[in-house]
Order: sequence, then structure tokens, then C-alpha cells
Amino acid sequence: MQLSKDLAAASATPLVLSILRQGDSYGYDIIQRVRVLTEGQLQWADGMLYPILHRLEKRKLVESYWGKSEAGRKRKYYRLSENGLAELNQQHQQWQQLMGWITRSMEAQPCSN
Amino acid sequence: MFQLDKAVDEWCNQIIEEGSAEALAELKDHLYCEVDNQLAQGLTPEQAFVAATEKLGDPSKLRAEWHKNRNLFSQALCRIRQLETNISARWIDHLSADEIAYRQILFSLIFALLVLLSSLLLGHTGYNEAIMFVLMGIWFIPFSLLANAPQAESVTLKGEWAALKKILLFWRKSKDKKDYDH
Repeated sequence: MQLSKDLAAASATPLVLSILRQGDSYGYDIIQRVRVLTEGQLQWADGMLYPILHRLEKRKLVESYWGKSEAGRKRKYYRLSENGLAELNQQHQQWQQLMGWITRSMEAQPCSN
Repeated sequence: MFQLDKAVDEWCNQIIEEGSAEALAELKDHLYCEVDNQLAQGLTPEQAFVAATEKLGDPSKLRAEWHKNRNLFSQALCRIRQLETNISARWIDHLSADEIAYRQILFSLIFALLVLLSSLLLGHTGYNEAIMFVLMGIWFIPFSLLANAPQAESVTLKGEWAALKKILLFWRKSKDKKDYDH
């Protein structure tokens, strides 16, 4: 089941933050991990991850530093900041709350008019 | 013969505006990672490059997204450059180095003319500063049309000088002809 465009966009931030919570990473690796995590069901163009990362960096939710790839190329790594961790926890709670509301509503008996 | 590094450079340069070396390095790293991945699956370098760029997404959308994060001034500059690239690509894609040199000289002459006209105009108005700013913008239009031309490298001083000589020769010939006619 593929996520709708709106849901995919809304889930991008918590997903990226949660992946960085596991350890520092770089763009290509983050995309591969999202693919594995969602079993390929969350589809976005690879290039669209970078603007998301840059926005997170601007909001100080992630920090970046430069390293090198195995082939010696310049590589930009991202790490989760303290603000980012707080944001992740908050978003996690919000998603759970939303999920709870929807589940409760789905379990309620239909009104008989 | 397909040159992977050249293709990667060209593709990335159309997404990232000039001067954003870090963004360029980041995008290139991604592209090379994906190309390596595709090569490992048995594709040729050219096929791997095509597959990798397709996965990255539509270049024009990417360009717009990548530049959303920049401040308003940079965004405005980016749009202007995009426009310039389109114009210069349309104008000089198929021109030889000689023709480009001619056009550069022509643009230089227009530039000089605009500066001259500006100074004349400024002598007759009371709003000098405001008009000056507008005119300064106009002065650089001829140059900006060639700013992004990939062929700019092929224009050497020697080429420009040769073109200038030809123009002078042509001017002298037409002058001689006029004198002769009279």
C-alpha cells in the first residue's frame, strides 16, 4: 500500500529524524534506510530528500559536518541535534495520538438513524 | 564516448546554482553512489548514469526545491540566472567561437553606449540616484546574456582580437566605399 502524497510529505520529517536517531548518516544512506524500513512503499524522488535535510538543518533539528566516502569523495553527514530529538519525540507522540483517535473512531458503532 | 564525470558535472550544475560548492558536492556524492549501485547491477556507465538521474527526479522540480531554502535575494538571483541560461542557450548553442566573440564585442559596445546614454540622461534630471540604480541594472543585461554560456571558455583574447580586427576592416571598407561613391 502506497502512502498518499500528503501523508508521505508529512511523515518525511519524523522518518528522517528517527533514522538519524540511530546514528549519523548521509543523504544516500538515509534514502536506502527509508526504503528498507518502509519496504519500498514510501516513494519520493531521491533528490527531494536533500531539501528536507536542508530545512531541518536550518531549523537546527539536525547538524551537519563533512567527511569522506570510501572512494575519497567529499560527503556531508547529518546528526540529530538535541532540538531534533525533542521534535522527534513530540511528533512521535502526536502521530500516536492521531492514530489513537482514528482507531477509537473506527471502533465506534455506526449511528443508527 | 560517454564520459561519466563530465555527465555528472553537467547534470549537477543544472540543479545547483553557481557558488554553492557544498550543495554541489553533496548532490555529486549522491549521484556517484547511485551510479556505483547501478554499475554493480551490470549496467554500462551511460545506462547507470541515466538510471541514477531518473531516480533523483525531474531536474527543474529539483532545482526549484533545492533553492526554496535559500533566502529571497538568492532565490531572485537564481530565477534571473535560470532565465539567462535559457536565453543564452537559445542564442548561442550552435554558434562557433568566432561568432561568440563577435557577439561579446557587440555586447561590449552596447554596454558602452548604455553608459554613455546614462551619463547624458543624468545631466538632465533631478532624480539622479534613483535613475542611476535602474540604469546600472540595465547596463549589465548584455553581459548577463552571455554569463552562463558554456562556450565562454572557448572565447580567447586572441579570438576577440581577431574578431575586432575583422570588424574594423569591414568598417574601413564600407567607409572607403562611401567615399568612393561620393
